[in-house]
Amino acid sequence: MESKIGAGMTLTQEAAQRRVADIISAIPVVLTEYRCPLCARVFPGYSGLREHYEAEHAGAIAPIVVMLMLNGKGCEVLIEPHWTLKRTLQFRLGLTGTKHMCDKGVCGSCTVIMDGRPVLACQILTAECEGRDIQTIEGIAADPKWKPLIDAYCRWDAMQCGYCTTGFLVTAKALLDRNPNPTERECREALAGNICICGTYPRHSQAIIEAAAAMSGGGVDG
Amino acid sequence: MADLAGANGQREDFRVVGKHNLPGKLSYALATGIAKFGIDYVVPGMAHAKFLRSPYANARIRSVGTARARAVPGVLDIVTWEDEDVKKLGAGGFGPPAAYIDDTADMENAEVGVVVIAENEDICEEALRALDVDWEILPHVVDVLKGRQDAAPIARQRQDAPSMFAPPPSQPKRGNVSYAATVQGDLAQGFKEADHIVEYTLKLPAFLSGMPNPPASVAWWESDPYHGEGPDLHIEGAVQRRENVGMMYGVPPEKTVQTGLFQGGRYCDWGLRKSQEITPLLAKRVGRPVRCSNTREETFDFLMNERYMYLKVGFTNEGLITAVDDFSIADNGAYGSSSFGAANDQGYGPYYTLKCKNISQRMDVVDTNRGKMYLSGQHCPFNWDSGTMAIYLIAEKLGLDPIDVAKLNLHGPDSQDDTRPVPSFEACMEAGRELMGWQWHRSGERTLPDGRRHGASFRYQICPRHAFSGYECKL
Ligand code: FES
Ligand code: FES
Repeated sequence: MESKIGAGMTLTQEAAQRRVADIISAIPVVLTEYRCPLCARVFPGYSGLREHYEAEHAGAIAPIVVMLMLNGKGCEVLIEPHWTLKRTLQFRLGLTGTKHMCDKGVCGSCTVIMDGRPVLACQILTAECEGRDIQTIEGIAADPKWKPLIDAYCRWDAMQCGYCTTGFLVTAKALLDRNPNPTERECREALAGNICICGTYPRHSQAIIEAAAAMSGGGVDG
Repeated sequence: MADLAGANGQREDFRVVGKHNLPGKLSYALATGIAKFGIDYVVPGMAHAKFLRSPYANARIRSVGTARARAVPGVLDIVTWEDEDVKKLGAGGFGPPAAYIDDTADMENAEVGVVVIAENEDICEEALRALDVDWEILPHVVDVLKGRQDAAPIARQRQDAPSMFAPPPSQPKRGNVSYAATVQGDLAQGFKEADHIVEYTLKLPAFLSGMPNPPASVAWWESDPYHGEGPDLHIEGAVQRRENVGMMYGVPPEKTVQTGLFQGGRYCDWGLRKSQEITPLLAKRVGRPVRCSNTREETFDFLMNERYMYLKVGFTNEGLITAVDDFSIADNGAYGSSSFGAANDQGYGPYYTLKCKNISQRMDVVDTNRGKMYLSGQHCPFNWDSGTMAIYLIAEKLGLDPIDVAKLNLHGPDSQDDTRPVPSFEACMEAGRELMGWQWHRSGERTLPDGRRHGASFRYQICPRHAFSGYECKL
């Protein structure tokens, strides 16, 4: 009956959790084809691509294969050496929850957790990520342990358009990892690198504090 | 007609009004990262496109050589403004009818002349650098007051076409300046009926656009025998303008497919950029899906224009406004700033939310090369900051809560003569007051314990453009 954008779409927490789990499991562990970024020819093995570069694109820098440890799962990616992690997540792995806002390291929308620290995926070369433990919003949302945080964000409607929200949420998860009971001031300090153009700031601290209480068994009122 | 007698009329119990902590329908999709915005789409076999962007604020391309760019490995196609299919396209989004792209740029970073399609964005950029462009650099205007002077350089090289929304200008355009004057009622009589008159000036700086997501689309064509002859256009990232983009390519709505729901900045994302409109043409040319995305800098448009305003407002001892005399000088930005920018936005006005009918609204609208002013805000100044200022000045003068002043002056839903209250509006206002713990006092009357001033403000805003922009409430 309703045809307007957004009408009629409701996604429960459980359905969303299943969807992100599916997205993660769809990422292939090993590469089965190697596509030339300059002419789109596809090769069954990496050596074929290297030889093609030497023969057809002499002087150009060939793509490389990097092994990433993403959301607890190892996976190979074929990238050009200058690619950022943000670009790799979107264009190679289909992980689009890590958002591209400024692409300059100022907005926090592309935040992921690397070896326990929130970092900006638009400022990190994928080639530097090999062997590092990387968590994206998909991994956090798929993990039942973090359901209270996702729930609290939704309950407090800590988003307007939602474009920046995943960056905030990943930063919030990193905060709760190191400080399970943050004060409002600590939440604000932790989120200081995240920008929300819609202006949802106060709700993030409320959501994080409520999630912290729920995760420590304190429960939620209302 | 407002349904005052029906379900939304005199009802006083509300499911949503006055409640907080209500998750939106889309909240879980947004919070978990499932939500895909236009820029997020990646489809198999996708090529990428980029526009040539002007390094100058006002310039024309005399000629462009594409041979070196075409030779860059990975370039699939190069389109220029002289191509027949580009000429046929026409502007689909904001702005009066115009060529989709041409040889003219009237702001820095404007899309001009050429689009490159390649295997990836890096190659597009390399090819753009390899273009041999002969620019004719023209003098530019970035200061609205200087642009208003007779001797100012001309900011827009294209002839303005009449906007379908704007009333005819009050006098012919001169240099960069279009003139608008909308007068209704009897101004002198209105001021005579006033117990008080306030006069004030206000300068609003230009306000930069609020879209968090760089605008982008990906489009492709696919066969679909179920919906009649010809291929379907599939486009992601056109958000609310799916049908408009379809129209640009002669594709009916039932054959224009978009599965994505999400738009950044919520209602600020509905003015399409060229990157969101061009992909169907490019996809047709190369026979593959094509993605085109702005960078953040390429999206550096102004949302609100700069305005210098003078207002004189008459009102009674109760706070009822009896007359408004309004003159402003407004930055009209670059060509195609909004559907309204060619003359003015006062097709809506003047001050149509007020009971007061004695209003003179004059505006000098000045073209500049500063940038696009997508929501110029010229249409209804009383709904924005100038109106809020008037309400605060009246409130200060009379010692009244500005919310009450605003409510007193707002007419009912049917016309300026409609004095009926609207229960849902009243309930929203009361719930808002209660949630905020709103306790108005005159400015400076109270301070924080450490002596600092503080405060929350009430903003009087009923923007017709937002009202009709299809903003989807999430609740
Ligand atoms: S997109 Fe990485 S910090 Fe803004
Ligand atoms: S919710 Fe829109 S940018 Fe933060």
